Amino acid sequence: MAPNNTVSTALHEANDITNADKPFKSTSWKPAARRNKNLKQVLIEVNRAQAASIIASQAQTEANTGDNTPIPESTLAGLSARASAAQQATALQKLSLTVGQPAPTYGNIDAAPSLHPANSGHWCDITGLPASYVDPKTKLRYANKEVYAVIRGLGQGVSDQFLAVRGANIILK
Amino acid sequence: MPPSATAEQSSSSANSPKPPQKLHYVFEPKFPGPTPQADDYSKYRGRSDAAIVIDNGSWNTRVGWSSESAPRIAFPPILSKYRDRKLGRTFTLVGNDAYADSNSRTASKNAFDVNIVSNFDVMENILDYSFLKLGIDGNDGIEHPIVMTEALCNPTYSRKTMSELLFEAYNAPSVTYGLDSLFSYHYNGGTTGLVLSSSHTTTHLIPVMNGKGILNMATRLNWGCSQAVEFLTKLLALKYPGFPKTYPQQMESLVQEHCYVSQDYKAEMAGYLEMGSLDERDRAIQFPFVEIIKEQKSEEELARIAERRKESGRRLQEQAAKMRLEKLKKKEEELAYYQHLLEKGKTETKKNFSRQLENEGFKDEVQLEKRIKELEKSIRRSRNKDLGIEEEEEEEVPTFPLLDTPDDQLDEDGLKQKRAQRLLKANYEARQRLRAEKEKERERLRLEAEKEEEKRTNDLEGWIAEKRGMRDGLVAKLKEREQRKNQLSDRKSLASLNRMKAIAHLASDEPTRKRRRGNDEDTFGADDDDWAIYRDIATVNEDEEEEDEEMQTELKNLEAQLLRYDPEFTEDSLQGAGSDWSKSLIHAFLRGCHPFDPENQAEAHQMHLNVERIRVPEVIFEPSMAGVDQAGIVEITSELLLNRITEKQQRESIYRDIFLTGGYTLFKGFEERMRTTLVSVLPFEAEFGVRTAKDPLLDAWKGAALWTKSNIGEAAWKGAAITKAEYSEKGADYIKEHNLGNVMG
Repeated sequence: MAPNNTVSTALHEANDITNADKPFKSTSWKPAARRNKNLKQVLIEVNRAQAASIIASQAQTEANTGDNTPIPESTLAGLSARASAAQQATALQKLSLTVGQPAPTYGNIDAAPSLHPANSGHWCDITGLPASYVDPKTKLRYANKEVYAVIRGLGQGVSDQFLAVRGANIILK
Repeated sequence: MPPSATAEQSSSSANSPKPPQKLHYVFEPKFPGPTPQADDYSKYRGRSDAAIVIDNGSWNTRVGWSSESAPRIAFPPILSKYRDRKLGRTFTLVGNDAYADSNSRTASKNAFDVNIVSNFDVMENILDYSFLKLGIDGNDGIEHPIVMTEALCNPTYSRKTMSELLFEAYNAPSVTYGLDSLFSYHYNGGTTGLVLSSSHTTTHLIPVMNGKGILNMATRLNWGCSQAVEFLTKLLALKYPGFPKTYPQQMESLVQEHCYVSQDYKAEMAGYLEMGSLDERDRAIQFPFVEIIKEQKSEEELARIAERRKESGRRLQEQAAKMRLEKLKKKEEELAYYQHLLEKGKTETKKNFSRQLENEGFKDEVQLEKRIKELEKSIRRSRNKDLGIEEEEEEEVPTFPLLDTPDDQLDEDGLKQKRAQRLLKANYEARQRLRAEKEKERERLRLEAEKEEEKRTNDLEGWIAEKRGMRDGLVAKLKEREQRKNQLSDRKSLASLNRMKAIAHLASDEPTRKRRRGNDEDTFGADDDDWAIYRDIATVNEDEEEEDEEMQTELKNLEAQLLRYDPEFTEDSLQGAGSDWSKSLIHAFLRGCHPFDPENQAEAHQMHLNVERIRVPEVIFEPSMAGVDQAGIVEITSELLLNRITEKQQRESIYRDIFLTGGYTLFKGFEERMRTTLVSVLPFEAEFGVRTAKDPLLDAWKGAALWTKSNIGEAAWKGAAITKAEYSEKGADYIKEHNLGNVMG
């Protein structure tokens, strides 16, 4: 497919912005090394900072009220070293503003599991129809005996893939 | 799609009265063409009141000027850094340009992890690209305020890095962050209500009071369009294992085009695969395929081929005849020589003759004669064959003259010969007997066939009944065997347990102990049935397999007969032909309401969307269906409205305006379903309203532009925008809280 190739190469050349003139960009700009973090890494860091700031703010109130719940000096020092002074300050501010209501964070706005799990229907894992039966061997739900015959004929591991669709497969670690 | 593209669909069964199903052709990922660079920047150059609005979404990035009514460009937030080895050059392709060909498409990376920006290299290129396409030519920075949307509760790290990028790489004078869903609500004139934004990667619910989002009560459900596409991909991969590769874009288009929200999921699903009306619900999706064209030969060509075949056959025959002739000649020569030898023997001395015989490899004259006789016979036979004479093989009855002579009248040589003759005679007689038996058997079969023929002609019904009974018996027997085999593969079945018991019994020491006491002997084997135990404990039984095969052939014979004479016995009723497809649920599920011909290449490359059409969007109402351990959207809404908002007046004013936005709400029937289900959970006669954004996709951008336009320069703007000076002074993670934005986390 030589002609096609040259067409797409020409397209690439036309659309390439590697060396395009970018006058709006600061000449002194250098991106920080390792600035890419996936969501999981970011959330772990947030959690860590939060834990530190809460302990730090507890220590602060303690100092204010003169109440002495003993907090080991070493943990406090270790945690506060990790949490910046700014974070400690914001944590304090937050506590005083929203009494009893935790500030929304990426982690705590996740919807809770259903309170009525029994209301959710049972659906055939193969066809999606309402299912009245469960195969005791594979734990797959099925709608009728024809589907059951299909389940019996499934190859090894395929039933697990069906279970994985609704997150009911067992993963051994 | 051209109308001619609706290809004919050949149906394998002639008695199908239905017209062929309408085919939907799957979306082919196509490059929409290069995005032109704007050439009207002179309008905005140097104007600090013209803000650049960026709706930074995980599905599309939309960029434009705040004073305009729509974004200038919209593209997926992807970057493809693709190296062409031949040219030795790396291309940086952003957005739609990454779809230019399959190489760049596969190398593309997304800036987002779920709904937050995680890959800032991609993000930087996206911003470069956006500003390039706006035609900005500023000097060492852009001179316009930036308004950008971000995710609800965007983690500090993500915002910090973004601010760093905007302020330091582009020298932005000020940056304002806001929430896309609240901007969309603002654009649609809402002040108090519940914003339900279901977009590409997440679904958010945010109550709004007097134009301010109450983020303390905001909730996120981890389900959006991208998860729905993934869900459909999984379902289809399991539905059609071994189907050729599909692309995410194809799946996305399937979700967009064919899925809809069911108004009564349980009832609709229960009847979804009913054959009678399936035609309306089933969608056949044709994937691209390469037709394997069978060469069509004209009659002339066929005739030529036949002629050629005949010709070569003739040539072979000729060759064979020639070879036969040569052989015949050789045999004749041999015969002549031997005859000559025999003649000579009559005249020559005995000693001389026997020496000559020995030279030729014969023991005596008798052997020579025998040989001559044989040759004569074979020559005659082959001559007849050549001439086409059917020779009646009259077998001469051999005589055994010596057998009747008493032993005492014979000398030693004679005795020997007599013994040989006796053996020969026994052989001969045995052959005769066998032949007679065969003849008898043939006669018996002939008679039986005749009898059956007679019965069939006289009493067809009875004959059919009998044959059917036999067939059914065989089928049942085969089924039983199959069942037993299946049970044996299951360790806990009764058959397996019995087998284990038998093995344990055989291996146990009990019989030995008994013997030692002397009152009992080991009698195993005395009864022939004892040995059957070994047959029972064998898992793979060769005898049984052989029997199975025999039964199968018998069954085939019976079915062939029935097929021929029984008008009610059709191809469909054959054992193993499967039941009637039109009554099969699985067939309806996999192949819709038309017969399926696996030989047909077009049909082999079709997927049928039926239950998936409502199953996929339904997940947002019942996330456990897809393994998401969160409450459904209606439950979250009612929990939020009825339990978390405690003040009655507030609650009532909020549920008066339930506002839907985001791509997921584009599913047909979404708004209606929300309304009907909310009736059942909200208080009796509650006055609640549900509405959808005018444009669920673009209203976030438009709202941001509107808000910027009306606020820029005012106190509200000052309270929301972070200036470069503030950034330098207060740090990268500093934000200002405003009505439509995030709060300090």
